[in-house]
Amino acid sequence: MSLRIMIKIGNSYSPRPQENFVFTARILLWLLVFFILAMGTAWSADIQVTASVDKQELTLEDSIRFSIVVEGTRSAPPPQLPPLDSFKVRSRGSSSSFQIINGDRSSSITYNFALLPKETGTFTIGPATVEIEGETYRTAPITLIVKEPSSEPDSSREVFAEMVVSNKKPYVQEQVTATLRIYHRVEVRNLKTNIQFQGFREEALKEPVQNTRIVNGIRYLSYEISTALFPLRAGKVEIPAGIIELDQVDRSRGGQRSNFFDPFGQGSIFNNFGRLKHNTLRTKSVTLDVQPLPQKNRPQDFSNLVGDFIISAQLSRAEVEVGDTTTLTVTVAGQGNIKDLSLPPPHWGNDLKVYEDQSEFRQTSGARSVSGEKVYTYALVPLQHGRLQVPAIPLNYFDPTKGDYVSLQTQAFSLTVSPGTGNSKLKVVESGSGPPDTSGSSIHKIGEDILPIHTGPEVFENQKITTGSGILYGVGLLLPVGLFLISSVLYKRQQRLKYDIAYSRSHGAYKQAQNKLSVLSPNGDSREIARELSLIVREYLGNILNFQGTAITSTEVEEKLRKGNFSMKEIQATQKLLKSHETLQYAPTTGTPPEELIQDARSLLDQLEKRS
Amino acid sequence: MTMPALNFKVFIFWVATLFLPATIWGQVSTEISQGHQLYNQNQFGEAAEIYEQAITHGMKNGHLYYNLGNTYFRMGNLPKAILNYVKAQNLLPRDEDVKANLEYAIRQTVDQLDGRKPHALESILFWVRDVNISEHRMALFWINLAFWIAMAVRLHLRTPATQSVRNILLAFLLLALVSTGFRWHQETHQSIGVILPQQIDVHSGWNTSTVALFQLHQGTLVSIVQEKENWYQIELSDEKKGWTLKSNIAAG
Repeated sequence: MSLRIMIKIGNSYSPRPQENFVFTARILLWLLVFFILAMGTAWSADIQVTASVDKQELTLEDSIRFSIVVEGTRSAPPPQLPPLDSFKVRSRGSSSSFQIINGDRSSSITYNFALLPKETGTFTIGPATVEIEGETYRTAPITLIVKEPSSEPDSSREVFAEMVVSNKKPYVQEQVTATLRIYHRVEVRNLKTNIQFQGFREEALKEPVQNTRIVNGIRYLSYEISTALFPLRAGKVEIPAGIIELDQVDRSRGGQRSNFFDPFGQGSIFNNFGRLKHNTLRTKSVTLDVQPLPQKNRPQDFSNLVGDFIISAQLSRAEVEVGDTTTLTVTVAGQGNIKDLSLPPPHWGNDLKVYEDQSEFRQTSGARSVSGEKVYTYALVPLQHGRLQVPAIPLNYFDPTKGDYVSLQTQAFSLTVSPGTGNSKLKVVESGSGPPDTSGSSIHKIGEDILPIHTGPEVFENQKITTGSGILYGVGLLLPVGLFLISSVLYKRQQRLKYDIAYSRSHGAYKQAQNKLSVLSPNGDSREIARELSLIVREYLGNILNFQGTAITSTEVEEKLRKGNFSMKEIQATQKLLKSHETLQYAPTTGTPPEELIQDARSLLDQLEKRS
Repeated sequence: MTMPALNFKVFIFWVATLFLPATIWGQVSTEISQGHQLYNQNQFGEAAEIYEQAITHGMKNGHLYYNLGNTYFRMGNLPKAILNYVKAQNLLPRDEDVKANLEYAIRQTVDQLDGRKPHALESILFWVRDVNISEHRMALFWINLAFWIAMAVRLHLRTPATQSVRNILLAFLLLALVSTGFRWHQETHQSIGVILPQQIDVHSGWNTSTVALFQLHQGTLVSIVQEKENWYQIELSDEKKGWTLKSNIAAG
């Protein structure tokens, strides 16, 4: 607008040099703005979004690079990917570029993703979308074919994996070693494994090991991860196919080859010259035929211990006084599912008070198997003097190599107990504090395990809040409130009766009048009854309106009742009754029967009571 | 001071409320005892089945969840063990055995992470995690009763002492109401979960196409923030947040 004005008035006067400069600057500024807007329009008009993959056929062990390139802008939001349920998607970052070649500008952003197939088949990657300045750009769909990986390792394969189990027909709870072997002829890094061992209890074995193995005449380095598995049930149990992701180092573009193997990417800086190529490996599923433990020769107190074990016991002191403590240490050691060992409680007899400490467990994971040691400690306190027997502790287990059950037991100990020095109070060991340290040495923690289950029947009350108990609880919460309100009302009423004379008189007026009416005899003299009735009605009026009722006359009634907000009809009825009573008291004859007089008075009182 | 007849009646009403039974608990079933026996015989699969059956039949008991946690631990099913220990801890918040086994189980996981995010109010109501909902309800019941008794006493005895007692009890009552309401909200609305697979990717959205933000491993405890279709949004105690498939989480 200002530009136009300047041009219009430009013919009418000659601008000074300073004004000329301002004018020129403004022109240049407007041209610049116009140019930028024009460029922006031109660039936004040239925006293109394309998607590409580095290959269209792959196996389950491969991954593809999926790139989305947004050309014509340097500030596009990340693309919205189509549903890719058959692939795992990993972001591989983004890069942007800006080029000026022979005056032609071009800019682009590239978003990279790695797609890892989950299943075989032909898949179409639908259009990815990018929204720029309110406009949505779509890529063209891409078709991918995912095939099974080669069944046999061949010479062209640089990396492959397999799952090997030590025994395909184990017994239930027998230890089986499952080893994942990753064979490679090139350097690999960033190893990630995903293997599910459903139907087994698993224990990690020692650190992974590296070996050199020859497969089909080709020498491979083998990276081996072993896991100890304990089948939990008999029958066919499958270890499903495992997925291993890793990066292969491609050194064909220079950089020195190194034998250094660094699966977790912790290597030295000298390994950083190669180019990383992501790869996915898959192992075949392995089915185990798990055998049930035989019923034949099965000991009665067998507790599913499977493996090869020994048991030993040690008594800290063989000679003690009554009430003194000696410690029996029972150690079970061996290879197998010793973690699950639960030693049945020995039969101690009545001469010993026994405090069992928490068992200690120490596991040793070797390269191929799990072994361990479980130590049970009992603090024994003799209750009688003499020669006592500490019983042998039995242990039954199933030995899978023999295919039969083995029964062992510790030696029995003889304990000599002297009567003591007179102060033979029980030196009781508190639960959980462990047996007293009789050896004088410090105690070292040698293992760790979960604490035992709770079995006391008294603790197994249902803690569920049922609807019924919820309602009862609600009533329990509201009842005190209700009771307080009732007691509050009653208390206030009682206080008013006590201190508010008008209220107190009014409160008992009707009852008092009724009582007096009820003692009147209908057979009496009508004049006397009329006098009594007049007194009762006037007393009642005095009580409900808080004045001296007995002295009031029928003519004064109107004024009093009017103040008491009674209706004209009630006032007239009251006056009429009182006048009739006055007349009757002095009349020579009695025309109205006494019953009628009483009834009339009763009706009036009812009427007035309702009103008051 | 002699008590008027009417006040005595009111007093009797109040005393009667003291003996109101709040709840009626069930009895220990023989099935659970069988579960203990099977556990001690290392027949963990059968023991777990019996414990689960008791829970299906309506039994809710911290010791039962604790035993079930031990059973799953022995079976090598760490996620279910941890989930049951957490349930046990909700009901037995001060039980040392439950705490020790939960901590031990968490130490066996790859992440060794208790990702449950504490609520901001827990810094003020610091006792909330140490008191279960039943204890909260009972505390509220007795404080409520004590407060209204104090109110009733104050009807008859208007002294500075009764006023102080009433005010103190009122403060406790309000605190108990807030605390119980918060605990109840936590029980019914706050959901926790345990990672089931060996390893999962946690995504930025409820779609596998979205970017994988971080990875978690089997047995890690997480807070479930919300759900959408087949996805849970999970949050860790260190503010990490993301989405994962519901099938990856055992929710409790």
